Amino acid sequence: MDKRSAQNMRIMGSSTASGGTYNKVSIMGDGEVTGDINCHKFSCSGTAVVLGHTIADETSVQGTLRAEGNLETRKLSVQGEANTLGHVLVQEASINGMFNVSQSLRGERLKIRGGVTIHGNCEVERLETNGCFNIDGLLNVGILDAKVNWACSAKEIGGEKIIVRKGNSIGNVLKFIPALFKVMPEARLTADIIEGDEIELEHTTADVVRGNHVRIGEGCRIGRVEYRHRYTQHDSSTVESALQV
Amino acid sequence: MIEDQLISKKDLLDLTGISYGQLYRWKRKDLIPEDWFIRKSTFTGQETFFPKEKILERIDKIVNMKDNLSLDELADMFSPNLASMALTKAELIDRNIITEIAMQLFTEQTGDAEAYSFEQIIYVYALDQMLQTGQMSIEEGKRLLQVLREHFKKLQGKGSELVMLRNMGSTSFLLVTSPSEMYVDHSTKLVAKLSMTECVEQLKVKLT
Repeated sequence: MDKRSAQNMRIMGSSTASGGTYNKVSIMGDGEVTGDINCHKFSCSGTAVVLGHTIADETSVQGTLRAEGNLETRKLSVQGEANTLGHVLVQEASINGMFNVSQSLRGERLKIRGGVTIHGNCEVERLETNGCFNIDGLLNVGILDAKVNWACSAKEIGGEKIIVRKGNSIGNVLKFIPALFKVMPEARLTADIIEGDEIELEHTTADVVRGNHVRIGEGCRIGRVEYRHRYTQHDSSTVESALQV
Repeated sequence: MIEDQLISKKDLLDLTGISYGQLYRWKRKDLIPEDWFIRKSTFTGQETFFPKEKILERIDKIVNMKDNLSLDELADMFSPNLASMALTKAELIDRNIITEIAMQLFTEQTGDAEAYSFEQIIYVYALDQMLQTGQMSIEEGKRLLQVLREHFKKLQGKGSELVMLRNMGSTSFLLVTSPSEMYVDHSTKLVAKLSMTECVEQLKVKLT
């Protein structure tokens, strides 16, 4: 069925709907969808629970969404809070709020200004972050461009180009206020293994870093570096051993 | 089954000359299956290993074919899932994908159809391959088709092989998952073996 010619679903008060194919789905109150939903535009500015899979061309969450199945969407924007219990497949995601994924995430572009937690693996072509990410599995990324303001972590990071810099946004400005300083987490990326063609790191803790070109900037604590072509290290960083392989 | 010989990630990259980035990229594109990445603890910490023979063959294919096909097209080709497409009888014969004799055997069993799905084509393709070995009679071919039509779907997504045995003039067909080892008694002859996984791959190449 053509999604655009299908009906719209609108929940404004508190109600339950079954799944199906729709053009636009908007949930402004408190809504529950009991089945799979397939639509052109899904927007939630209230509280929504989807018990089935969510398939939408565009998905925007300003309120709170709990998707118990998989989430498949071309464009995702989260300003509020989204939780998915299944897998996430997304072309382009922009996260300004909170996004929790219980399984894995795959996609093309992921932009984080808020916080993202992924319990499985994360495979994206490009990840730009100014916010915070915690990935329990492998972060497999074409280009990682990370400005670290908070505690970020991934078990393993692998990709073509991996650039980690210390951010300079509000998180660091607030550090000048001593009372806040104590409760602020340290702005640092932590990973067991980082592997890539080109790696530039700042304020990163890792057991092993392997790459063709490796540049260790300021504030790093690295166990072992294995590089193929070029290696540089900043004086303020500690690297236990570095060898060319 | 003997456990496959393993190769560490570092040795693999040295041997093939590819980079970390390429390896990760191909994994992202599903050119290398997740279950080939075997994580093991070593004295230097965690290391990743691969089944040596499989990964070397796969990387060789990717490197040789990536100039002509996009990574997405390559991914479709390596997937054991059947492609979704349908072709008419005339197209299949004109493009020399399947011989007329094999097609005729098939339509005798299933009746004529407008178009044939990839799943059906793979049965006829396998039949054709076996007929062309010259080891199998037309009558046996009919039984082969029955085996495939009844059981091939159960092995969906796994590697599989077709085995033809002959004992004192009577023939048996086995459909088994691969890789597997098998041994037969002296009076039984292993007539032919056909990898269905390769058939799927070859057919995808021919149809694209």
